[in-house]
Amino acid sequence: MVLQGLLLALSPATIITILVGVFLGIIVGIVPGVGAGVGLALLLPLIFSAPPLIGLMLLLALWAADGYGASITSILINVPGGPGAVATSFDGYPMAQQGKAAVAIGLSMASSMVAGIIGTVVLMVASPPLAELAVKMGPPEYTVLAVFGLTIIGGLTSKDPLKGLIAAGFGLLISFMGYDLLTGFVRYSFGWQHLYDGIDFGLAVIGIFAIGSLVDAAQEGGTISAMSKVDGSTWEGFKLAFKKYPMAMIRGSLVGAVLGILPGIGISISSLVAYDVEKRVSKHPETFGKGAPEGVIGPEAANNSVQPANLIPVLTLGIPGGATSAVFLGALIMYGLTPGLDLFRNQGNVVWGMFWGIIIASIAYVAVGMLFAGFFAKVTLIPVEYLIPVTLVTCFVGAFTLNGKFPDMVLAVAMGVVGYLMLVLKYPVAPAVLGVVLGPMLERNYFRSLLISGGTHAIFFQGSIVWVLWALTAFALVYPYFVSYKERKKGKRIPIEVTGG
Amino acid sequence: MKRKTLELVFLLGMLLFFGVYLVVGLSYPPRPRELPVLVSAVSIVLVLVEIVLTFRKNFKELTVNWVKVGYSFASLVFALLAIELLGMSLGAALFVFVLGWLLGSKKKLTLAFVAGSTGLFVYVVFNVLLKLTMPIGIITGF
Repeated sequence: MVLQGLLLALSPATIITILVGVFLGIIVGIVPGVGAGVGLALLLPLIFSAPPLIGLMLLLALWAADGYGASITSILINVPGGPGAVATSFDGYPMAQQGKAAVAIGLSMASSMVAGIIGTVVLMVASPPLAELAVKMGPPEYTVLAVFGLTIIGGLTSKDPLKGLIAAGFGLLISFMGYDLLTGFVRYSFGWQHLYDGIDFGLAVIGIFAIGSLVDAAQEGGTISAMSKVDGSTWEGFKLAFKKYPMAMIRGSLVGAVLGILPGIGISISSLVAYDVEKRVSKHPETFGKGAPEGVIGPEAANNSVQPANLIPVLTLGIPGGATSAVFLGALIMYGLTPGLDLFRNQGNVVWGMFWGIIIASIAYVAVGMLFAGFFAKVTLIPVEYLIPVTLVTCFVGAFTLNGKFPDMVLAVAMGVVGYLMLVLKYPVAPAVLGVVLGPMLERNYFRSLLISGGTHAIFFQGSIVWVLWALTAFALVYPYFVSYKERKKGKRIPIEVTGG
Repeated sequence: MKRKTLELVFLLGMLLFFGVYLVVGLSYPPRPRELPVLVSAVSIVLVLVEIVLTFRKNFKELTVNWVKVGYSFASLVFALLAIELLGMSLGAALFVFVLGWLLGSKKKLTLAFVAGSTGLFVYVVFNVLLKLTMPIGIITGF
């Protein structure tokens, strides 16, 4: 079945389908707000008449390339094409400002390719046992996982933790707007019906992150690349990733693969966690936020290995980990393929064809990316008086398409003001984004746990997974101090800079 | 505006935001208010500490072109109005022209071309190809 799947994936029809899917994926990835989910939903009615492997491969190739596409705008103009590319901009954009946009795209390309392959190998090897582990994760585990996620703030704001915590508080409170998920009580809508559903995470990214930084670039004038030229090439970045940072690619891929399995964790957290991991293990954490290659490689690897990992609960249990995997599950069902052990037994060719197809797609987007990367890099040479207004239009389109509501554009502009002030006053934006992501997860699972336990908090200390997560949380909190202590003992003091947007 | 003043104004804004969350949150039933009240209360303490620290800190002054920042945000508000009245494609084109002009573009013809192309791109890609519903202008009806 494994070899038959490989042969199917290597057929000309599948290869052409993968190339088309990859091209479409890069396009939807580039546009903020129009991610793989929208792309898959639009393609769904078109693939119905195609054979299952061809139809599913078109979706998977689009999905695989979306992460790479999203990183392009993140690097070039500091506007993440999707939530997963937020962390990429922390060091990708400074590289573009230094005239190294093409190198940064090359780093992203290499790490995306490696991550796609590693993620798929994890998918091939570990699907059943990992899916079982994911099922064992209940509300208490997710609560502690959210707390673990919040400890990343320490890593993202080590120079001025107070500002980072204030930003995180702002993000968390934004996430509490709208219906309380368990009681249905409407909070902080201030009589505005539009806020009943709360503020979408994507909207917060567009407002706080994208609009704020675009206004900053507009006031600086000139071009995004301060050098007014593009140094290096995509190929140089591609080689650099393999030559100097292979471990960063592997670490990022593993972070994405592990977090991607957990339904609901999503792409955004994995890339932030990977960024934090890279900063913690780096011998030069002071370079992060100023164009450190590992700051691009880690998040890019993580957000690209999330996709195959997301497929594990979908294929084995029929549990989608997010909106995109839910659409993909719909496609499987449309073809009459029921997730579970029978899918692997009865439709093994298709399943293995898909697995190999993702690996081929991971290589294909390097080929497609190489063709266009030089052109993309030149975007940083366009004068801001043309580039910024046009990019702000994509922000408006992205804000509107999230829910199809005009007030979302108003909210994006309002949050843009806050984002801009945070930027100029050196408040890290990443903790705010993290707060918006983790707030609902933390609150929902916290109360679900208390409902299960009858109100006792002891539930957060029961079970081996919970303890592992607490240990990781403690480690994440203590590790920076431990490193700092060790360095002081050596008589060498490492200055740690504020990074994370 | 001096950096320290701006820092304090921002912190006071944050204090107001967290304060409103706390006060409003206290009127909610126990469960929906638990985490928001906790987070806003902790955040208030943090902001107060930061205010005290700000008074004691010496800041490097900002080199911000506030006129261009003002133009940018004023144009964003103008864009909202333009999109509401003219629809996404025309509103976007007008916004690109106005902001580009305010940011100092000297080649008006090039700018008009870029603005027109943006409007056309938005219409063709989002309305026609992706078939996404875009805001319809009150005046234009499309």
